[in-house]
Amino acid sequence: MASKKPLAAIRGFAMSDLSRQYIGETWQLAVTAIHRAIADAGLKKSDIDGLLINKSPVATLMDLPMDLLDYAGLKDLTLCSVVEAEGSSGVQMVQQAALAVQAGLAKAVVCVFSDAPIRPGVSTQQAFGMPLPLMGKLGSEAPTGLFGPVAAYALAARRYMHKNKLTEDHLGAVAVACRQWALKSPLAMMKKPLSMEDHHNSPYVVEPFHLFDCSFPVNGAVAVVVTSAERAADGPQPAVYIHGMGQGHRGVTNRRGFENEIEIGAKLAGQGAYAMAGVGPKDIDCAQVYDAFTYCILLQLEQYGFVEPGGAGEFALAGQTAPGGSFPVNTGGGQLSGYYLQGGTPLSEGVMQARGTAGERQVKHDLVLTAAYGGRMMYHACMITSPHASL
Amino acid sequence: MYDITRTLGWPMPVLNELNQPHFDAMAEGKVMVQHCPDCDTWLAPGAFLCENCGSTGVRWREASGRGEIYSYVVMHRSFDPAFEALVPYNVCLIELAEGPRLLANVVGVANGDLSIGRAVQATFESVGEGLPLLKFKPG
Repeated sequence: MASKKPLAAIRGFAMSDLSRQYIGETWQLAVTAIHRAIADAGLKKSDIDGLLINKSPVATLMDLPMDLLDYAGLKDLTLCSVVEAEGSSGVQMVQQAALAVQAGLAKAVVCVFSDAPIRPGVSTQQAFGMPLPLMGKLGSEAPTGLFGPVAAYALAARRYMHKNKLTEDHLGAVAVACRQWALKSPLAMMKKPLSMEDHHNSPYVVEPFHLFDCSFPVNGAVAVVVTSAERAADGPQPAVYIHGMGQGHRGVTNRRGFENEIEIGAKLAGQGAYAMAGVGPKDIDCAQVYDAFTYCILLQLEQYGFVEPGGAGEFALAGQTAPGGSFPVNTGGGQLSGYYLQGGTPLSEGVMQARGTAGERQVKHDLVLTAAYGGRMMYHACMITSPHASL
Repeated sequence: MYDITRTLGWPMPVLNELNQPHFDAMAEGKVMVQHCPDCDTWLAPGAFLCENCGSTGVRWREASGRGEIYSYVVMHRSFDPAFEALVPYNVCLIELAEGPRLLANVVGVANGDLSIGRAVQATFESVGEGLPLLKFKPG
């Protein structure tokens, strides 16, 4: 491995309370996570000079406005922005914070994701049930009845399953593995054991997806404080060094010869991050990835280079991503069984693992891949972190 | 996300120059997509420029209406009142013989008999309060 200085580091990390009930406005949850993260970093509000904000793509700027800095009591910032890259923003904002710290635009940047989709009288299906645009400007999702991310992803999963001769067992294996991890995490929302039979017996939402192929939205917020590597080293918590980061946005081509459902930008994002860190997929100890639906874990395992293309289904079915397996994935239960906070989910578990504070679910963590995507896996961002300042 | 409007009681996108000819053609029983005359590439409608050669000279052109199922789902829940009585209904991604892919419902076949690669051809059915909509049927 190359011996290079880290790009930056995560010095502080915290979350708000998580709930399936209304526990406050989006901005209120954000303020809680911000204040906790600053305290966790051993810093004062006056030490913070940057704020990067990540709202849900289906929320409005009113939910999480720029003046969040005022609500949080932050003053005289030299960096403040809303990062809007859909679900990939959770990782993108940390990337942007690292760049800002490197360039000297700011010294201590708080990055926050917050969402409160669940309200009295609003189900998660209603909160996320609008069409996810797959056809660009055509907009034919609504008249054909393809509503919700669940339908858009199910359409992709069917194609992926067909190409790789997968069955619902392969999807179920992902759900079961995530549940096994969730049972080890005090933060996870899903606390009942899940068998393959339970998965298959859960109702179809959009075939081929059963209910347990779908993630579990919550209200909550995640915040981190990004500083230089030097500054993070003298914090009260173990520093999480950022050694590599990448993005991949391939574009969608709706015609013969292009498999948008399989050839996603994660490959490009991973290649960038590996090159920057001077490592390869074989060096990574665990992965924390965006898993809005079971199929997303399988595809990312392949695209990030952990498994040969087409091999992820059997890999998961053999239990390799589960506790005791050869390559732990989404060790907090992921979005499927832990908590769906968009990019905040892999970000939070990635920090806890890299710090070595994941308790019963702690795995080998010399190198952790954290990845998030937006749209229907159209926009990808990832980073490679480590508790070690040099690799 | 995009704004949804109602046309004759049916959920529809807001129409603009990039999608209106496709939907307008349904009333005439035509499958209108786009085509680049510069490199002879057929494009899915909604294209602003040719994704193959970059030309901005993209034109609307009628496709044959023949194609095959590229992927499909069965919706077991209704997300919109218009579809409530139709559950469980299918939505398919159809790959036209010319190459572009379109979302559509396939009629005349049980959901359990849908399969990737199955040949289909365009048909037009009235939805809502009389809105003609492109569908596909086995063929």
